[in-house]
Amino acid sequence: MAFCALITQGATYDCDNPIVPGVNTRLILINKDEIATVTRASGYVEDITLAATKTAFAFEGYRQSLNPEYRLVPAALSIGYDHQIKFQVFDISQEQKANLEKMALGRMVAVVENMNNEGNDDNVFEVYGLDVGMEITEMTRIARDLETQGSFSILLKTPDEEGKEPKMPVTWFDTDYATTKVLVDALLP
Amino acid sequence: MGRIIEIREKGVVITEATPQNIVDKYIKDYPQLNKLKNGKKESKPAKPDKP
Repeated sequence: MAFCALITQGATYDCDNPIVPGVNTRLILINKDEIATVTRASGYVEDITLAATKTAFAFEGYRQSLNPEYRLVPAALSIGYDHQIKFQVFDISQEQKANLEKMALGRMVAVVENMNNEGNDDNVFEVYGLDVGMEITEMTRIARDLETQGSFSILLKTPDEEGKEPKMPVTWFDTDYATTKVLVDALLP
Repeated sequence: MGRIIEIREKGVVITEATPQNIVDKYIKDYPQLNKLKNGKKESKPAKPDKP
């Protein structure tokens, strides 16, 4: 058996700082091809920089409009992970339609902020699609739909036609929550 | 595992074991390579102290 198939620790339940479900509804999307560098240390992402003049983009939502998920995809001779992000775009302008048409042709990397709680600084930001990227596999807008307010419903997902992500979404952490947040926000215009 | 910096634009991965002459080739355009000189991170970053 490969050395990397041997687990190295158990898990405890932190009674003082229990895990909190949910995410901040701000989704940060990056064009995968515009990532210049990725700095990794001890399995974490420490920093991501973009090519000159390029920025990431924030898609704001509310309540439960952002739903990230990932799951193991086992196969006989390999394993991989499907990363996916379901989100709403509450902007139906022509400019946004043109933007989403471009997104449908591209490949995205997403930064998601988990609910933060004390003692959880190093588990807040996760990067989805960092190695393979995610593509739009569903995009609908139902004008009369009350639940979505007629917004765009979008599903970004690891493509089925290519290799899966080799890892779960990577945690982005450097020093503490505040430092990491500055680095994440630096991606935005 | 030490620090790894992927320069995706160039298709290059720089580690703490990369020869200095290779690092020097990229360090002007990618100042984050200076982090490689700050020593290895062997373990998970420490969590903040609990009150």
